[in-house]
Amino acid sequence: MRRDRVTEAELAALAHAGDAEAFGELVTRYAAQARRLARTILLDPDDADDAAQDGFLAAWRHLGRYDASRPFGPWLLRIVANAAADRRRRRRVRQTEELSPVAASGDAGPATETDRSALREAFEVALEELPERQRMAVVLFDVEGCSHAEIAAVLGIPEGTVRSDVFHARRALRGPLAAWRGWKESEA
Amino acid sequence: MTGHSPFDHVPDPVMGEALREILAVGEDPEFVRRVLERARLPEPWWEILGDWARPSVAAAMVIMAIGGFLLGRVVAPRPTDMALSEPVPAGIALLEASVLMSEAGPPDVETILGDGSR
Repeated sequence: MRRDRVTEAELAALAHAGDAEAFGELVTRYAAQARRLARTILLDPDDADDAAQDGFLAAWRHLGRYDASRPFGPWLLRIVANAAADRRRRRRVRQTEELSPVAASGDAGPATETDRSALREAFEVALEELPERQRMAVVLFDVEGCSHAEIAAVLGIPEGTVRSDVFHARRALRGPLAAWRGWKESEA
Repeated sequence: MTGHSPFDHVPDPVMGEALREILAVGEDPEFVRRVLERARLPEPWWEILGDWARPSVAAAMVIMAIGGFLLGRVVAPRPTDMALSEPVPAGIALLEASVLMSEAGPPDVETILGDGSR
């Protein structure tokens, strides 16, 4: 049976029955999303990969609880998000480094490599300073292409709250993004 | 900047590209291999205990609640026992029924509220 034609519900059923190959296919399909989501919460790539791994393994152990009538992705990503939140509670998240005044102001200045790095860092810091739920909402919406309903299922909040979170997150990120993008466009 | 209003609720490709760049992760095949290797190992004892922790705490709370209820029923005196055994405070004379029944008219307030001795 070709794995790429098998639905996720079928793969989940096979994996639940002990088919490691089916589980591997699910991990392959969701690895990037799960790792990015975990990184959105933990802000550290190594911690994020550990949390994403915890999430996949927890999902595998609890595949019996998965309702095959619902989409697999939000169910899995919610487990990954919980695993990342557990890990964050156990460990101190690395503190964000202070920005230089130039980077914090979003003033591009001369197009040097230092400025480019500072503007990128300003955007990164703006993302890190968002409340965690807003950060997750905007990443799931704009990067992963999830619908508001899917994000609501992942985060366990109403759709209206998701819309509000995406709006506030975008509003906070637009300034630093404009500075960074402006520099990138002037470079091109 | 990106041509999208924050209210239109469609994915913003420019924002998405920037976020994707910031949140870039390493090679997925290496990660998948690592997860599958870990999945083949037996589940560590602390995770098995962790899976049981919540049901165990819930079961313990239910058992404690039922035990407390049953113990309370055994130990606490019944209300009727309390009423029968409750002594009449000293200095309060009982109003005898015969006093009320022997009167031709209704008893006056003094008789009822008084100390019972006419």
